[in-house]
Amino acid sequence: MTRSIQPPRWRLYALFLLAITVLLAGFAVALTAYSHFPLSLAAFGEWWQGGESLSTPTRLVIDIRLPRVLVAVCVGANLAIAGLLMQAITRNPLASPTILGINSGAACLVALASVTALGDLLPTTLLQALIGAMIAATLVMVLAGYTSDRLIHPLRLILSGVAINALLLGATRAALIVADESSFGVLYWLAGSIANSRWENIPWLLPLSLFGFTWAWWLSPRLNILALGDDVASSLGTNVISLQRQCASIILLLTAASVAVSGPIAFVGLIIPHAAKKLLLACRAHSYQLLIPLVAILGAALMAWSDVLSRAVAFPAETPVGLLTALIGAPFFILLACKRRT
Amino acid sequence: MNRFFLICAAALTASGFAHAQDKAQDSNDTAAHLLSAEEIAAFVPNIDDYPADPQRIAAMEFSFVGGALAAGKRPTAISDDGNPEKLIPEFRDAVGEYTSLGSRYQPNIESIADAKPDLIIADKDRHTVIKDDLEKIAPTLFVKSRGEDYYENLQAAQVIGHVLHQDDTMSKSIEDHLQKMRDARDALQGSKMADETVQFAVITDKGMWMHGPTSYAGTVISSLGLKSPIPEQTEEAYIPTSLEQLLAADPDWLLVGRYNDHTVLEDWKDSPLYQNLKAVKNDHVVEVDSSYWSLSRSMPSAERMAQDLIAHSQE
Repeated sequence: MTRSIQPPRWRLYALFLLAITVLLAGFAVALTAYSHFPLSLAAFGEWWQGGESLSTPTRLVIDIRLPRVLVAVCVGANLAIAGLLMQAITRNPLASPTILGINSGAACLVALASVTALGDLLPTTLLQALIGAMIAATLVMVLAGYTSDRLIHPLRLILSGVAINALLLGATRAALIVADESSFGVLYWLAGSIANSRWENIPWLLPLSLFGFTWAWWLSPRLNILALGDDVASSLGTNVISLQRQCASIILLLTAASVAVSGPIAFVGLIIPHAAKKLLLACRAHSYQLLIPLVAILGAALMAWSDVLSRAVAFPAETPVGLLTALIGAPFFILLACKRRT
Repeated sequence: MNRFFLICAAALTASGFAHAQDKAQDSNDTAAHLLSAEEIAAFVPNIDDYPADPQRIAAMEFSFVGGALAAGKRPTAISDDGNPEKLIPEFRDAVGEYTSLGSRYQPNIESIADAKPDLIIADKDRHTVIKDDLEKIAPTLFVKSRGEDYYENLQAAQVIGHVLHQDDTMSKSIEDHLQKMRDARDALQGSKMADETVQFAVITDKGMWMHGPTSYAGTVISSLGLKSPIPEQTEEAYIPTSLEQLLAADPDWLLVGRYNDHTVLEDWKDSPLYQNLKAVKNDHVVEVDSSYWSLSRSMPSAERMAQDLIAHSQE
């Protein structure tokens, strides 16, 4: 029995329409739900008309909720794309951007800055996380051999990541033991939270996210070929080393930006690529040109809804959004690992 | 056998605290929260295991330094995280020379042994994991420090006084303290602050944490007859607070303890929403010393908090 090579278009349209609807619904609910104030989307109308003084609910939606949800969707999309690329270059379905040591590096420098003079040198958490992420990822990539002109075996990258992650985790724990009073602040940050997101983050985070998305999408034809294996890709004229380096750069860029604004958010980069691949397979499609926008939409939707849940779980108190993604992601990861064994 | 005694002690401690809390639940009088002589004795059924007149006391928490001093005893070794500046001046002056035991979070057993204490006072939450090591060095009293509220701090002081065989001295210290707090309460009740809500929060570069009604600062504030803007939020002692949640609480007075030079408060100050807060409009956002308000639970700290509140209520 032969299958049609061409996927049925209507299924793909329906899939993307559904994903976008879930994202927009999450966006709208995250903007207005679970507040002591009567928030509504009508705030945008009032804001558009301007006027001398905006009401408190309108200001809340525009000044606090909107940047927060924008950060959530950027972070969700970034981590999902980074996860997809990580799984592509390591050809390991259980790989996630954390392998590059980005989260651990950010966490380590944030923790160290709370107990050493580094805090004076790098005054903001954002800066500490960004630089920590960069240093750690560079270390992992150098250790994995990305500086040489030889083809890198995916396993070498994973092992380098495991080693550097373990080293950084030890340093983070040591810093937390010394920190004590300030450790609760660091621990809260480590759980991953977007509660204090501000408009100041958007002008750099949004363009950077769009740049990362565009770059990844531009690489998608070559990623389709890479999926056939390094040897096949090389024989078809793809520069695999350059492709691996570019993917690693995108992963670093997107994950470091995300961890800097929200702290380490777990599992988004693991769950979403799998979900997206399964959904596309159901539509008889599996190209990276479709996968990359789909993981971006689904990642953004997951984070938007996680933000809603972070407020809903213990309202009026808030739960760090990273805890919720971990709670959703951990069972998924276990299920995936078990399925692979069978 | 020792283990059996410890289990009994733990059970009695738990039931004693619970009973004391029940007894005082509907009372505004701090004295009603204190333990009776029988309840104190029940806390320490193995009182004979402790030295009759300890001379070398190791205090593994700042609140225990306060407890020992209130009982008329000077600790000779203190877990000060390697930084004597962490002790409030009242303690530093009263203690004088002492041996640093390093971190409260990760105590150095060798340092504790070198200090040759004849009694160790340790936190039953933080230090239980090294219980056996501590008891090899000297008889160890485990009482609550971390996460305690104002009333629990006074009860712990009573137990410390009993173990140091200084019940009378401790009773007098507590009575003097309660008198100061009653005077402060009267002064505050006569001020405009009595009709307003008061909230203390810690601010760092990573966020704001309101100290809720069940926290040490929260219970000191309520013991002074002042109102909390979030009386229903009793689930957590320290509540992570976004600007939206601060707006929802909207206290008349916002007292902040700063942990960093640059904090979220500086980020929020540009927001028109922040300017909408009652405390901001009335110029009632006040910086207080976090050493007293959040880092060192003790009678001198509570008195300092009361004085701070009185000073600001008269502005």
